[in-house]
Amino acid sequence: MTLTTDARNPLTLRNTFTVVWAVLVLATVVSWFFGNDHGIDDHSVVTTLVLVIAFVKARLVGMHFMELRFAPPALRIAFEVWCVASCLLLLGFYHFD
Amino acid sequence: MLKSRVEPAVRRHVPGEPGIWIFILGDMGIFLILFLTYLHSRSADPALFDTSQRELNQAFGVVNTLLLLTSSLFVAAGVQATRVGRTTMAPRLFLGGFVLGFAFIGSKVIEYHQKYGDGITPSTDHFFMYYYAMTGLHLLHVVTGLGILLYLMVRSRSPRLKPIQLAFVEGGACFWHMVDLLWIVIFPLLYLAK
Repeated sequence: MTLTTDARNPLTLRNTFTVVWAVLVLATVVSWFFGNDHGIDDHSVVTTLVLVIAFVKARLVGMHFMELRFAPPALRIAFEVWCVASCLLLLGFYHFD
Repeated sequence: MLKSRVEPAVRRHVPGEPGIWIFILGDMGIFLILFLTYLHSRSADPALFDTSQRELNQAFGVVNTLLLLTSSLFVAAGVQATRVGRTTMAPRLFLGGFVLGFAFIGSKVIEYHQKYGDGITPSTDHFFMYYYAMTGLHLLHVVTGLGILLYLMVRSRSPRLKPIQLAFVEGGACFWHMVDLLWIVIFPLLYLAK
């Protein structure tokens, strides 16, 4: 198995964790920007966007920080099903309830 | 070469004790129901929810997200360090995660204090009932998680952990990442969704 994690230097810039963290921070700032009535006027578009971003972030946390990408498929899939189903259910409740 | 310093630290395995995953996935299911109940209530009176949401200070939501994300980074690195027997670095990384988690609580206390100062309580309206219920339940998880991080700090000082002990470290870390993950959803739902 190929590992990209530099275990000896857990907080170097080359570490996958650090890259994932940077993406998560960027996604948070982007969500905040759009959620604050910048750029997009349609609230339902903004809400859809920030919820989708949230579940992409949640999946990144699970796959990398929780190391589920190395987990047996059953557990990894259970987690991914939660991410996708939660996202779709929340969007469904928001748009159609 | 980067490859040569890469440890065969992670093999295909369940992170933590398998039992912890029943708890983690169960907890995530409970929060999902709470999220859906919130959106269902919101659909009955979106105008009220939007008006009340404007009372929230988004800066708290953002700062809290960044605190937990960074805390998770430290804890994930702490597990890596524990695996390769870095008995000085690992506890420091868990301590870093703990301090950031503690800062989250501090920030939440300030936020609650401001809300109470403005006369906003759980009985103000439906939105704030959900606001306090969701953030309060999450805060209980943060407090529990900090207790677990203290345990990880102590545990990771031992040079050679038995597989079961390493599994407890991984499982505890996964609980903490779940606390981060849940906040990642709570933040847009309460602070941003209109």
